[in-house]
Amino acid sequence: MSAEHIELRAGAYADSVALMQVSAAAAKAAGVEAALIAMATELNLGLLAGMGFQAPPTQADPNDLLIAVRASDAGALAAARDLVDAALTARPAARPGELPAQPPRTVASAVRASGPGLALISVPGRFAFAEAMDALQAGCDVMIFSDNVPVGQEIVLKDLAAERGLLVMGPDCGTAVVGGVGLGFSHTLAAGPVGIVAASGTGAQQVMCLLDHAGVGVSACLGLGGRDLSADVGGRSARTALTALDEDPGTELILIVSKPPAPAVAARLRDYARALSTPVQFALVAPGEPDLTAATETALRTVGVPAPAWPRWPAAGSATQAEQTRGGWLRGLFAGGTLCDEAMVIASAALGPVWSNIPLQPDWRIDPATTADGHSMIDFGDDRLTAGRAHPMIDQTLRLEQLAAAAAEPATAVILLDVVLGHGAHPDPAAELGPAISAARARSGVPVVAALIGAASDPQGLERQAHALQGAGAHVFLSNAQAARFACELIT
Amino acid sequence: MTELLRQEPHVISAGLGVLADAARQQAARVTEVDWKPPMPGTEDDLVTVLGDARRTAANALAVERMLAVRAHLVDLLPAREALGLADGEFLHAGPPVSWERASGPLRGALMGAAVFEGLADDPEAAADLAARGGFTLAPCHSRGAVGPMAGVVSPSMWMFVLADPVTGRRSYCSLNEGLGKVLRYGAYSPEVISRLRWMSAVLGPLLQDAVRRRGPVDVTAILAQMVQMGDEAHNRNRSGTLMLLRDLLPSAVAAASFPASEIARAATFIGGNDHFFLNLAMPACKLALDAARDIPGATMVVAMARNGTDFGVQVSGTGDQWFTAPALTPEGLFLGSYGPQDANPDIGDSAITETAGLGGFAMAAAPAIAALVGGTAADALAATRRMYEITLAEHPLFGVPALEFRGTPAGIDVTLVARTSILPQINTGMAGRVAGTGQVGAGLVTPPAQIFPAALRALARAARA
Amino acid sequence: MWSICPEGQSVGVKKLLLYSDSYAAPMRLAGAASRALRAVLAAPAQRARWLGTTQATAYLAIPGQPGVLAVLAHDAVRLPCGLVLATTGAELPLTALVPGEGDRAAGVVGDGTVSWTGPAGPVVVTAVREWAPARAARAALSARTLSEVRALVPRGADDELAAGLRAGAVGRLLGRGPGLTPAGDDLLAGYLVGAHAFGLEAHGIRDAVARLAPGATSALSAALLWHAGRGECIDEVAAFAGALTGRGEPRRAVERLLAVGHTSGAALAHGVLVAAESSEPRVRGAVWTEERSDEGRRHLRALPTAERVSTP
Repeated sequence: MSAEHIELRAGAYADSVALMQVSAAAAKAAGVEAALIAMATELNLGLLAGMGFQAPPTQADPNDLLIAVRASDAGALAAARDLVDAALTARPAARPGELPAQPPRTVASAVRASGPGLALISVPGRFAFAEAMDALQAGCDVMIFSDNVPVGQEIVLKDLAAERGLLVMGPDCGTAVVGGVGLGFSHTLAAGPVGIVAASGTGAQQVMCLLDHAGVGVSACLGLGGRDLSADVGGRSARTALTALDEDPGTELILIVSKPPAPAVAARLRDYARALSTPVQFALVAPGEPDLTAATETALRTVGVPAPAWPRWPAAGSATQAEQTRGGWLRGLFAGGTLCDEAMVIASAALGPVWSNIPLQPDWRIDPATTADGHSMIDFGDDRLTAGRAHPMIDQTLRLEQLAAAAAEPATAVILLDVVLGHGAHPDPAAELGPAISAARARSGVPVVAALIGAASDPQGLERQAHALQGAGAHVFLSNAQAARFACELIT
Repeated sequence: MTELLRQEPHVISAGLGVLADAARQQAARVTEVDWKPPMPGTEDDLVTVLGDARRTAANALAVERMLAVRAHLVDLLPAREALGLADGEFLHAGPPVSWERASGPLRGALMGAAVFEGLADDPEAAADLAARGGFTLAPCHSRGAVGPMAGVVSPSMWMFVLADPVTGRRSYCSLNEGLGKVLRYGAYSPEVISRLRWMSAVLGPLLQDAVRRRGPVDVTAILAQMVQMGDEAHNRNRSGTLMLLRDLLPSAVAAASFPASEIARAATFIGGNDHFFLNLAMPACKLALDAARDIPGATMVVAMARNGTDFGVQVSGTGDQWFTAPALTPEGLFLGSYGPQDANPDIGDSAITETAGLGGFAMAAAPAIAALVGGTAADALAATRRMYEITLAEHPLFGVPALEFRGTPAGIDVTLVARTSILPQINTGMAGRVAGTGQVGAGLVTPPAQIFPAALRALARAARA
Repeated sequence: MWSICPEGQSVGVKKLLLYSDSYAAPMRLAGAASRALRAVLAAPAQRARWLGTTQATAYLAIPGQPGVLAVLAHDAVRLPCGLVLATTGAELPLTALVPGEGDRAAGVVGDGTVSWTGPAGPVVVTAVREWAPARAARAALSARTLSEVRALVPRGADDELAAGLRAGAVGRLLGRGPGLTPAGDDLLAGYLVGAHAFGLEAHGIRDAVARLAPGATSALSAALLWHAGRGECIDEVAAFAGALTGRGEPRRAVERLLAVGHTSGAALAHGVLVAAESSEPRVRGAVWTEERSDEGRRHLRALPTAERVSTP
């Protein structure tokens, strides 16, 4: 006889990723049939109903914590509730004789207690401004991981930063490397001569991982966020980032990685770059521009290092390329937006129109839920596909479903995807992708090509992931551009 | 230019725990903020107010002015002279309130004061007179004064006069009558009235003479010493009362302007009332906070006060505007056989002490008070440490021994209250809800939370103007 | 007890830690290593010898250059041969981890870690991240900020040493003065970094230092001089040199450098200033003025002229 428990806790709060982890742990507990631990937003209340739970006992407020567990019997329910409570209150206990700590509740308080530093802000976007202002006023640089920060607030923050000689990375900055620390979706790399200014997170990750393989380190990777190079913001942070890298004696080359900025912004940026004493190379992802792998090779030449042959791991037990080539559509399933862009640029040049939810041209737009009658590449990191769920670099569920669906379609000629490793990403993507790829290939023999974005020191183990994917039947490339080209060549 | 690339990173993380964890795994020094969403509905106003270019400098100025004030007791005068109070005019604690909305203790105090002034023959007649609109009521705060509990001031009552030697500004407070059945708890018996008469006829003039002969008493210095002696100047004032006696008694005795018996009676009266110094602590705090008033763009609270019905807050950047909501009832321990049903909602201007960094904010210096309100010494420490999260400064004069002499949290910031939902902690006595009952207990209370979003909204409106 | 293992023999050195009488679970710390330590950390395990410690620093002698590895608390000055922890000196005083007399020679460095036996058991510090040591950017001196900075740096007791430096008497400077990094060494180190920054020809002094330092002064000081010869230094020196080229706030840069160590900061500053003075070409009609200090000493001071130096 199923036992159910639903409660709303006022004043309790935990971040979205932490809550997803608690939910997942509860769902795995013995005897638990369903569990949802999340903030009581409309979206989550809808999910609650969808999971077959009763409505909560009182009027829910989005600042309440919703705890819903259904288990096979009362005993299992009680155990699951204990598990949830323990996970939610996990906090280091004070040692005996020590005052229990009052943790800082704002960035201002944290700086007062522990000194200035780099503020890393990942609270929901509409609250990020307050914490970022605290940081700037206390003399701290800021990285705003949060997205959905209004552009007006971004401009206020960046103007204050310029006054104070500080850098705002973001909003919507998911990747940075400072002092060798990989922040957000990032990697731990050797210290070296290349400085990166990135308006694209996964683009920067691709470049960094290629450089790392070539034995060339990075002095820093400064993220700009998704909107800094727009006409509205005008490259405010870009200028600060460029100056900081120019003044850094260890930086011999600055690489700007981005989609093409707004034309006026691009012109001003080039002028600014020209006035610096450090050489600046623009690596833009757009039709007619060299791909990021080519750009990285140029950068390597500039710092006097020959470009290596980029690693590839051919699919295990695969037929020859000719045997694998077939007619039909290219289906791209991407977690990284820029990686998807780069692949689309290459594919559209080779194959013609590519349908997408982030299309290169407006008339190539498609709803990701529909099956395209033509080549298609979907960015699963796009806002509309990440509402209420974690980023696809963490949560692969949606992509795995689409992988199976694409494999089942007779018209699919090749499946192309990116697998991003490093900090912040899924701890073992190949463990989930491998079986999915094997199953897809067993079903229809469709070739699967994977771009593996990773560095040697990544926690997931680059070689281990490559071999697992290769063993499952995927052709694996360290270079996203090479992966895309290879996929195109498999289509007659 | 930023020094970001020239230093070992110190990551201050607010938001997703996984990001902080990943940084820690790379041997980065990480400080994590225990972040929670702000009070509902405040995010837009927070953006406006936090984005106001005047705010940081305005708050810094408010803090500087507040902390610079040294309050000196320079004189005593009847309220008629000191405040220009006319017959039929009464001051009371808290934000403006009408007779109709007033609670038991405030009504009782007004009735007693009317009898004391000879405006009515007996308390019932006084009540009729009040109901017919025969009194003019105004908050003590509006005349530069503060009053504990009902805080009723009438023209014949003598007031402490405190001055800031630098600016010459003044603040005022009546004399504390003692414990039990007294006017400020709404008692109006003949005993209460006759005590008030003695205080105006003898105690006031006697203390005036002593102060004038001795010279100004540095009340701020006494407050600083009190904090090191286990008092927090709101609920515990014993050491302050004794230090005051030490300062004034010798010159009173030496001058012998009054018969020895009267001096002795006054000394006994003062010495027998631990709370006597409260009526100096409060105006000293008021003097400090008044210096910080009316700074455009400043989000610092300059007054917290209750009239027994409403709790009111004033903020530096919004002038004289009161932000009010129904007062909560304190929770704590009760005297004798009293219980929660006997307690009146929160009342008195004494929350001015918390506003200035004393009282509940200095609880870590007065752990004994925690037991009185039903808590532990650890609770007292935790209360002060929590208040650092919502204040702008640490008071250089009030150092808490248990926190390595760290200054008490001073200068409440409305934006920090809205962001953290941490409410100012007040440590207070409880009045009986029936007029004349007296003190029924002591406990902890906060302002009602909804005051702060309202104040924030007004600050946002002012910022946009 | 330890079994003695000759210096440089890598096999089995790490195993020694596990077989000590006082076996306990190792205290594992993670740190960020200077790029200068990349080679010795990546190499197989070799012997390291404990040299000394303060609350915020622990020095070990290691094979090759720089010759010293400094385990540093987060708030310690970031030496270019440093392995920086995330904890401050107050949170984890390194003095609490000092090995006993018999264990001082038995530290190990390599395979990504540095380890030794502390009083409560083995201590293993793993390098999980890398940073590049500070260096002063090559740029032209600004006469205006040079005068400004000179006015802010108090004349020190090392005027005599400075004269020796100008005369190139390296041998007389090395090891001169008390402390872990003697004033003479700091003066030389500041000079070498300044030479890099201002484009000064300094082969003679650099070669003399490389030749003489190892025998003439402490291992740590020799290591820092080796770094200085390559232009590598602590952030405070880089910022000071930068200020002299018009980059960054001079007052703050002076404050930060003078706050380093007891007298180190001042000596480093003087060294950089001597390099700055030596960099100003005298040929092109430079305007120098002779001044007397309060104690009656004569020295030359350059007056800013538009032709000689670039304005910031």
